[in-house]
Amino acid sequence: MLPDKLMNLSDAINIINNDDEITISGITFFRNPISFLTAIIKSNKKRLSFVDREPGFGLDMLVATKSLKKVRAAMATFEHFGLSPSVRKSVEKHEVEYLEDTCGAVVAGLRAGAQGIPFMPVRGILGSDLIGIHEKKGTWKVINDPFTGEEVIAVKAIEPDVAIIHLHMADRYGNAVILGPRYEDELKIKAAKRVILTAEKIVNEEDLRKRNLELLSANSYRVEAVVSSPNGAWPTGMYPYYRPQYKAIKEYYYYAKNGNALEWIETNLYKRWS
Amino acid sequence: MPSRPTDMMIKCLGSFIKDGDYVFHGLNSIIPQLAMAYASLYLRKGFIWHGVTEQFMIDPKSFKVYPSSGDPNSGKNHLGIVTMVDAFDIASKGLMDLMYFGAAQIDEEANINLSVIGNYENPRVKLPGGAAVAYLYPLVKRIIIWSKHDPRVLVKKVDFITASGRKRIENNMETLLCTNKALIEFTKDGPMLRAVFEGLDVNDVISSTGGMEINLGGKVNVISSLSNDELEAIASADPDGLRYEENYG
Repeated sequence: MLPDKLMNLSDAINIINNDDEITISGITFFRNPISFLTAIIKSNKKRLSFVDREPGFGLDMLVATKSLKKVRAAMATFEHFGLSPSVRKSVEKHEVEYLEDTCGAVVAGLRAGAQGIPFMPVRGILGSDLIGIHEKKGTWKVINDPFTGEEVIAVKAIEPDVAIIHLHMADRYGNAVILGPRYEDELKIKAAKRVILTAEKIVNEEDLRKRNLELLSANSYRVEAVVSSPNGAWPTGMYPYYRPQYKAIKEYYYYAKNGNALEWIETNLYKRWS
Repeated sequence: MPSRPTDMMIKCLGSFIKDGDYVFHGLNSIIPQLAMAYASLYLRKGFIWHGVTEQFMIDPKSFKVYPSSGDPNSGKNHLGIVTMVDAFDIASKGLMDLMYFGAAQIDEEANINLSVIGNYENPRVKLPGGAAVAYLYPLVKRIIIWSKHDPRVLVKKVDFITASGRKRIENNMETLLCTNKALIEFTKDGPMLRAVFEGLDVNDVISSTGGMEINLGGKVNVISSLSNDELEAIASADPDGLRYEENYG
């Protein structure tokens, strides 16, 4: 009998420890695990670190509520609406430590983490001022290909303590399916030490057997918790189930810009999921 | 009546797409998405359309822009999902033909800054970050940058090199900049003015920078205003006019 990992948000939140490094699913306004991030904000977890490639709404919520001490990302943006309001403000005021990365390097680091190897070489990047910053942090190093001598960047493995992934369906054991865009979420699942899934639908094992030509984005072996979370990405989008709520995102943007993000989160998110 | 600078920019950006190209767009890229729509719907170019939505080969006729360039509702009837991770691998092997990047600052060596204004440790403005630009800039065959033609953007030296242009120029990799006034090519002899938008004066264009010296090294073409058919192709993909909210005029 496989262990049953289905639990509610208030139990799953205990998998996160103060000082953990977390990563989340999705990009800017899509498939962010907003129900779980709201639970993090309510739980008052301290000094978390955050690593991701192209975050937006979810990251800004965490920064606005002072849940994070460190952020590592290739870009943090609200796209058409502007800069990520709380990230911008908090970095300029030195309230959060920010390490800018670049997409190919984040993917390389997650690939190394997924494979359990110490680093992954990556092309490109040479000449960027990001290199000096990462060499100082100990996250990248310029090395020579031992076979040809070509200069490449070695990216140290990224192994977040916890990956929080919102997806379309999961069974109670942690076998799960993402429909449509995957981004680098499957690498995050493989690279992280612990994986929490929040799912739009909890399905039976038999439901998965009926659609067994699809890729399992997560499997029970890797997953620590499964949380039922219908509409759990709101206001970010969950293609093809529901669209991003741009009106709500824009409203949050202006609240956050004026330093009132928490008020918006309390009003719009606190009672949405239990 | 001359066209709006935003539409001229879209035309300029779209004109670089060739038949058979593999073209990729990132986030925060409404203008490049519309350039791809223009190239497909008006110029009738047949190319591989891919981007951060991860939908491979959407039907261009169905395409609409949204506030996020990663919105999978933008296009219909794609063939399937090809992940961004796969797109990065294609680029790493030198097989990506064209990509578009924005710039908060760009300098004479085609260095792009999307990280900070001021000092990295103590920024006056924390910008969004370069996303894939540091990684992809040395790898993609043809890169077209879009930015405002503004003294704060076109500078002698960027505050921070998010992506380095030097190797691109040394290796003769096509690197062009479409502003909302002109087309500039980065060459071993510096930035060269290749075209100005219809109705604009060359001297006004080259003098309205913040230190970037734009050279006149040959014929300067004129990018003509858009016909109704050209405008319709763009408007079909942006019926609500989101492009005009991007502040390029």
